[in-house]
Amino acid sequence: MSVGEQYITIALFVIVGAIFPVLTIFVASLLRKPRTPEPQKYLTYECSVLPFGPAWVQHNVEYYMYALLFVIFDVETVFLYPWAMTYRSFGLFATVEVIIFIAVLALGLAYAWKKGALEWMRGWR
Amino acid sequence: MLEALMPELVIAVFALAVIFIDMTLREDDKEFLGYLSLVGVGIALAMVFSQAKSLLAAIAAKQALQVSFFSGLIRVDLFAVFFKLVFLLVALLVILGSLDATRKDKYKGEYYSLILFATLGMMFAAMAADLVLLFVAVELASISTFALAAFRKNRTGTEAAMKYFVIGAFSSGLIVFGMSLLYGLTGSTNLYAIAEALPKTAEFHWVLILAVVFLIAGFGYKVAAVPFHMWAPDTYQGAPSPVSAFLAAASKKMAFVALLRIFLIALSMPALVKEWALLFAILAAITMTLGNVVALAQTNIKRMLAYSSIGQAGYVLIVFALLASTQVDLNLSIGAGLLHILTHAIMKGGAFLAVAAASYYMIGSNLEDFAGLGRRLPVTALTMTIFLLSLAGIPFFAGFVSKFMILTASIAAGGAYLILGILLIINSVVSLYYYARVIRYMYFAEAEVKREREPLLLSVALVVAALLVIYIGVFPDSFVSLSLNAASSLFS
Amino acid sequence: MSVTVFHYVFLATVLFSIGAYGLLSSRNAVRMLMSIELMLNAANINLVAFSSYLGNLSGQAFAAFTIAIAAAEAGVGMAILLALYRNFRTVNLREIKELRW
Repeated sequence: MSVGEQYITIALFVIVGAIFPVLTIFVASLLRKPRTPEPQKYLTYECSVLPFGPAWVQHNVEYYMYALLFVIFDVETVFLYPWAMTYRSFGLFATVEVIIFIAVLALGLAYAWKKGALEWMRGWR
Repeated sequence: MLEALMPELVIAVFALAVIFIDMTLREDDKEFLGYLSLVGVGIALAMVFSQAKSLLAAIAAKQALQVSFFSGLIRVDLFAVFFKLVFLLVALLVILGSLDATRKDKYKGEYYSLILFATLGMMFAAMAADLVLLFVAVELASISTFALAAFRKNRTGTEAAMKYFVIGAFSSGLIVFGMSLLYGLTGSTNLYAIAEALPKTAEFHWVLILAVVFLIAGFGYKVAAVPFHMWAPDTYQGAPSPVSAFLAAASKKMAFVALLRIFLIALSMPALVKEWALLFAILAAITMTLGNVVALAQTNIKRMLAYSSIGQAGYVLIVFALLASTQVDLNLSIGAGLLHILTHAIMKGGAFLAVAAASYYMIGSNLEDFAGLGRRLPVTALTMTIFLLSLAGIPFFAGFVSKFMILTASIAAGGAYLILGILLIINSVVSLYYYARVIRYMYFAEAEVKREREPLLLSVALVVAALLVIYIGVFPDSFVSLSLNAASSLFS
Repeated sequence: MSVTVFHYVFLATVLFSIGAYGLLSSRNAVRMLMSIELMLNAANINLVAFSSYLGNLSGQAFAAFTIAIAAAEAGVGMAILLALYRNFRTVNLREIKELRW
């Protein structure tokens, strides 16, 4: 495949991606008639609940604990997945190593649990 | 195969055990964890000591000098064992000192297990013969020490840790990018395989130079060589004193072991050595000069020790510059660097622990705070004096022996390398001034003080380190031959 | 002209430079953390591209380790950042100057 052909797919995606929103907004504007302006229609759309407060709020710091734990444990799959794909050829040795690996991780999880990192809003109770 | 890794297994098991037992203990009982980790480091140290003995015996009998396994990932030679001795010795002293210095702190379990994990990373870095393992080991040690620097969570501590973290992560980025270029050029991550494949990459010489620059800059940050040194004074000053001791005495030495392995093995192509040796010569000259000159202006002792440690890193960097010279024996120059790494680890670690002993009595780390320390805390002041004199390079102390060896190597190299030797002498003279100033404050300054009972374990750590400094200074022969043998084991 | 390994290396170099610039020029510690991630991921692109070009897998293994280390580093970095914020009520590193002579 030459370069030109390689980029045809990308070009198609770009064109379709550009046309699609314009098209939907145009069709929606046809369906919107007749126009009856009301103040509520100009509010920010927030899942049909009336929005309150400013958009730039500080999120609770408790989210941070979850994000942190998620990141740490999420990344471990990087090591488990290759092992799962090849464990037949590596046999017992790799299995034992993975068990040790998971045991160390479990210790980390137990530590986080014991320290109360898994409880929501423990500082506010 | 596994018995060669026993010291590392012991450290790993103790580190995990400390954090596990920590969960079951009440806050008052956590002092026990310090003793537990002390036992772990002691066992590992004894094992590494016997490894060193058997390797020395094998060298004397002209037998095989090293064990490699995990398909060349790990290489246990005398060079690795030498560094493991340094790291474990420092860890032992720091834990011993921390038992007193962190008596009033919370989170003891985390503190000791982080020290053990950092030591584990350093030990693996000493044995790594592969870029992947080297990077992972260096990062294990670095990330543990980031957390250690923020251990007290106070204003100075967190600021110190943040600066250390940002620079540490930046240097990791540089290192891993340099390593990726090296891998792309040679198609291997094994240091010895890279050395073999490098001559075939002449076409992409500029990429190789780029990789070298990235690696020098990355590890330059970790050893705090001069254009990359800004973090070190802030971090050493803000971190708790035992942690500063650990950073200056162990963490920095780990960066040197990684530099030595990469540049002496993977990048040892003669045409390339000429190019990076020049870079190292420039780095060494400005590092030792700037470190010592700026240290003159410091009024905070921890900050002064940090700048002095930058200067001392410059002395070790001379060794890299000497490698391009054909006049000097390779083993002599590398051995000189190794010995200076050992002696500097003991004396700088000891000096920071002495500051920790002073802060145990709420004595600050400013110069005036040390006034009258000789009467208030006599053991601390005396050992501090020994460390400072040794750092200055006074004869019959350890620092003199290793500096003298570096000087000998640079004189043997002759020519332009003499400039580095002369700079070394000038800087030692300059450094004597600011070390002597601390001694003058401790013994001759007017102050209303009374004698206090010194913390026992911290004093033990200080006395052990001071005795080692004097022993190496008076009977240097066995240590010189150990470091020469360690240097030669790198290539066999 | 098709997409060769050089294009990937070029992309990685550009990303790395953006990360390094962001790290050195920004005052906000959170932005610094993001820049660090960018630098490490640039190295990952390099490693994976070389690995596929050379046809050996050690580069991909290296990249896997780098990803894990980057996550651990981000975790510790954010924890330090949080402790820093509690002490200083700001994450602007130019305003934090307790340690300066």
